[in-house]
Amino acid sequence: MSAATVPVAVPISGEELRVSGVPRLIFLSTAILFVAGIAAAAAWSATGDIRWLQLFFMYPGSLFLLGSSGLGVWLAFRCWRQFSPGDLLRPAWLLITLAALLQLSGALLQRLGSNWDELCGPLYMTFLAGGLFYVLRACRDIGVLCQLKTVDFVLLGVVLMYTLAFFATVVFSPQHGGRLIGLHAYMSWSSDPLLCVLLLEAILIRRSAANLGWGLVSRCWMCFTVAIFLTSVGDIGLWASSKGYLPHFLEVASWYVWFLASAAYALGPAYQSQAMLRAMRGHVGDSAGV
Amino acid sequence: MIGIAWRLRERLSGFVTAVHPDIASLLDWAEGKGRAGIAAHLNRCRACSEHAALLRASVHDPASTPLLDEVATALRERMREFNASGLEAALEHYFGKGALRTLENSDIPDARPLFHAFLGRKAADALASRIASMA
Repeated sequence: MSAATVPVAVPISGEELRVSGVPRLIFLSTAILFVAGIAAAAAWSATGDIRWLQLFFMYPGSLFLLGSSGLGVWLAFRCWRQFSPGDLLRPAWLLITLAALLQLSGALLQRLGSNWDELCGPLYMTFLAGGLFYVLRACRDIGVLCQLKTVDFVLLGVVLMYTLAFFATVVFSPQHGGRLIGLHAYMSWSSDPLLCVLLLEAILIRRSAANLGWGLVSRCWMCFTVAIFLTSVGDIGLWASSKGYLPHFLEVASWYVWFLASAAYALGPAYQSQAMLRAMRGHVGDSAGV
Repeated sequence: MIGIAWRLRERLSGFVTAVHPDIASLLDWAEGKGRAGIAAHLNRCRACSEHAALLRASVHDPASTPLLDEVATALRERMREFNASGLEAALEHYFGKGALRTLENSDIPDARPLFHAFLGRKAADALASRIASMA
C-alpha cells in the first residue's frame, strides 16, 4: 500500500446489501418463529391436540433449521474466501465452513428420515472445535487471551458432570441405553465429550471477546459461544427428559432451544461478514462520522 | 492512551507508506535515535523525508529553519485528528469500547495484528488506508 492508494468510494453491490441485512433478518425470523411456536404450544395446551405442535415443528420449525444452516454455510464460506492465504484465521474459517456444511447435511438427512444424521453431529463439532482452536491461538499470539474465572469453572463443571452422568448411565450401562454397539453409537456418544471441549474453547473466547467490547468482530465470537452454550442446554434437556427429570413444560421449552442455537450459529459468520465488508469499504466507525 | 496510539502509528508507518510517523518520531530520527521503521518510511515518503530534513537541519543549526514550529504544529494537529477520528473509532467499531484499554494492558500494544488476524490482511489494509486518508 502506498500514499497514492487512497481508497475511493466503491458502489455497493447487491451481495453487499444482502450481507449487511442478514443479522436483522435472522433476528426477525427467529422472533416470528417463536411467536408461531408459542401460539402452537398455547393451542396444544388449550385443545389437548398434539397436532398443533407437530405441525409447528414439521413445517416452520424444519424450514427455519434448514434455512439458518444454509445461511451459515454461505456466510462462513464467504468469510473464508475473504481471508488471504497465510492469514491467521483463514484455516479457522475453512473449518467453520466445513462444520456448517455438516450441520446442514445433518439437518437434511434428518428431514429425509436417514439415521446417518447422527454421524454429522460429532463430525461437525470436531471441525468447529478445530476452528475455534485457531481463534484461541490467534488471541494468544495477539495478547488478548484471558484466563478462566470461577463462574466459568462452575459452568464447565456442570457440563462435565452431565457428561460423566451420561457415560455412567448410558455408555457404561449393560444395556447401553437400549442401543446396539456400532459406529452410530460410538459417534453419537462422542458428542458430549466434544461438547465439553467446545464449551471450554467458547468460554475462553467469550472472556477475551468480552474484554474487547461489543464490536462486530467480538459479536461474531460471542454468537458462537452462545450457540455452543445453547447446544449444551439442548443436549442436557434431551437427556434429562429421556430420564424423566424434567417437568413437562420445561421439556417442551428445551425443544425450542435448538432454534436459538441454530440462529446463533448463523449470526456468528453474519457479523464477521459484515465486519469484513465494512472494513473493505473503509468504514472506520460511527463515532468517526464515516 | 495517546502514547500508545503514537507508538502504533510509528510502527505502522514502517510498513504502510500512507501512515506517517509523528513529529516526536521524526525528531528522534533527526537526533540520530531513529528506528529502522522510520528510515524505511522516509525512503518511501517524500513529504516526511522533507520534514525530517528540516528537523535534522534545525538540530544542527537552529537558525536555519524559522518555519519549524509551524511545520511541527501542523504535523501534531494531523496526528491528533488521526488518533481522535481514526484508529480509536475503528477499534471501537470492530472490537468494542474496551479494545484500546485491552491493547494498552497487553504485552503487545499494537492494533495491527488484531485487525490483520480478525479481519484478514485485505480488509485490514483497506481500513488502515482509509484511516490514513482521514489524517
